[in-house]
Amino acid sequence: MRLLLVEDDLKIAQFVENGLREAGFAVDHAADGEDGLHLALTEPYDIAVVDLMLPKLDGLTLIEEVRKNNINTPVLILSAKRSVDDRVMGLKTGSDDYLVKPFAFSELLARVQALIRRSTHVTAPSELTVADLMLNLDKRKVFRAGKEIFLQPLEFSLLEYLMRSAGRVVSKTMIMEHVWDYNFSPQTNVVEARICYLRDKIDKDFDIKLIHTVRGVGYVLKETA
Amino acid sequence: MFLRKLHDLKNSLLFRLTILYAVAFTVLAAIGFLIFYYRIYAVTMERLDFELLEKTGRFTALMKDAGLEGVRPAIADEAASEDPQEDFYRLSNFKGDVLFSTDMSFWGSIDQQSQLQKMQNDGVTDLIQTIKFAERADKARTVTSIIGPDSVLQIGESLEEVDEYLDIFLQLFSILIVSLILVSTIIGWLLARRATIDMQEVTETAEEISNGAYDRRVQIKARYREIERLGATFNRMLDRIQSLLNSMKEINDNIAHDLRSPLARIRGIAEMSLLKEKSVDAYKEMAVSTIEECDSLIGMINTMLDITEAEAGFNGVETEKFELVELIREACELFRPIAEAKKIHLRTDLPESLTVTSDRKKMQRIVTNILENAIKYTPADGAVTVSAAAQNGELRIEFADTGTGISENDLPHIFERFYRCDRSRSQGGVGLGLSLVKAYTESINGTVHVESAINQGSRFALVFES
Repeated sequence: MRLLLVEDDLKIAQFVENGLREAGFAVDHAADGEDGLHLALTEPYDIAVVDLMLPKLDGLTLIEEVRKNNINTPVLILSAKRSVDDRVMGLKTGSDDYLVKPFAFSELLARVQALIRRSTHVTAPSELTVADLMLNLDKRKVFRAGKEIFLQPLEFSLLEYLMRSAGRVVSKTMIMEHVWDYNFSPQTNVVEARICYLRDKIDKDFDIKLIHTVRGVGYVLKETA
Repeated sequence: MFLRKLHDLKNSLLFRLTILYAVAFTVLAAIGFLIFYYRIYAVTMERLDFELLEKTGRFTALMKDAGLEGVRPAIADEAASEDPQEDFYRLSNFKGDVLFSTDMSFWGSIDQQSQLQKMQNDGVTDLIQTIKFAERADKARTVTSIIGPDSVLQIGESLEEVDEYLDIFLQLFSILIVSLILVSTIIGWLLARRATIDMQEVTETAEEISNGAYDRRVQIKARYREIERLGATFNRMLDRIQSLLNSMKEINDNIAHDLRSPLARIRGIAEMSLLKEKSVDAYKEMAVSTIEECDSLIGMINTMLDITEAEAGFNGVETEKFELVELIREACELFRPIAEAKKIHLRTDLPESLTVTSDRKKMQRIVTNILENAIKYTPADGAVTVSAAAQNGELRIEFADTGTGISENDLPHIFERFYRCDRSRSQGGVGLGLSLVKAYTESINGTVHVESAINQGSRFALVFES
């Protein structure tokens, strides 16, 4: 996957670039709007991550130019502004997303992958499988090593989200947003408590643990530690 | 320089009031004088006319009794008693032949025919006129009367005396008006100054305050009630500003404290890990702590912005229809593991359904915040009860806990930003939760009420007009 990163803050650019490389992306970095536009128009990218405040050419104009040239590469907008700009809202289509600085890298990665999935129209599977854990979305049933595990609806949603993001770390904020549909996190660690319950049911009786805590970042569901 | 001073003067209230007062006074006096003058003139003329008509009437009666021969000496007698320069008598027939006349050389000719013509047209026997004679500077009041067949008597009296008399009045009034203008200007100036001198004091105080003396206040004891009210209002405004300044200062101190502390921790942790080689786990620990501190800082900043935006009415309210009971159940469900871990009974007393049209996201956050607080401040084996009901046109959501309660001293301040009942700040949280609750509730047209008793618990109520 080729990814274009247009970001003038070099430190941010560096950690985003490194993180995305580790996640398997081929990253090109442009430090200003003009370079970014040139790259976007000449190279075929699968996705672009664009900061709004850029020298020479601002991010919005860049995206508008790209769209004018009939290039429908999905774009993830980065901005330090908290309130969503009207123009961004007007721009925001199925192939665009918006992320506010400061952001968690895990969230950036999740959104990038979601945008790519959307643009490549991957059909949603009816079954999710990680190691010997299997979740059936139609029947809403969960099996581990062939044995059915009974989950409450909320626990099911949480496990479904973890399995969909299998191998990728998801933050508490992302869990709150996707599982509870809350756009904020309470002070109390309500997610931690919920994960504990889930662990009791999924991992407790098995030697290989699937749900792992990445301290300070979030949780990940994967086969190996 | 002079022009600017003049301009300043023109725009000064003192000057304007004085001029206004003087002009108003003078105009009123002038109108009064004009009316008075006109009345005197009219009365004088009436008296003169009455005298003249009375004379001609007398001669008309004599003419009837004694004929022309009897009248003529009577007129001559009458005329002899007067000064021919002041009065004239002239008797003639209709053709204009003079039958008797005093010395008309002081006066000049009279156009008798046109007078007779006019009398005939009007159908009267007496005509009173004010005539300017060729030989004289003053005017004269004349009467032309038909006193018998073919006999016209004309009597004239000089108006010199009347004019002199009225002139005296005019002079007197002129002097009076000039002195009135002067006096009214002075009185106006004094009155205006008395009013503005108190205002000046208010201005001076304001100036002192703008120079930094925030504790200065205006002397309320003024001569006039209006100025007193101005002073009192001004002082009230100053009190309010000062209390706002104080609370802002407090908020600033708190922000400084609450932002500096995590920053200090981040910096300290990073520095410590650089001072000595450490194990990979220790470095990981540092990174974890850094992220946690950063997240709490970001959370605090975002919440502060959320509060400010809600208070200022930015990012308007997004209303939608939703099931409130479901929203509350979800929030309770969110905290159930925490409550269970603390052995707190989390109970709900909710109706089957409560459909509301409001901002769902905001409501979610309000409910979650209050619930979180209730659980946080309730000890083990306590209970938190959430109830909701719609009645009497209002929607009421209540959160009752059996927690530590809030002291009377703290109660009025709990919705203030960064206010924490616990001064030592040992409990987690930054003291923004309830501020956000209040700002959000008010932004969706609701009110927050709270009752509390130490060691017995608190009861928060959200009330929305439906």
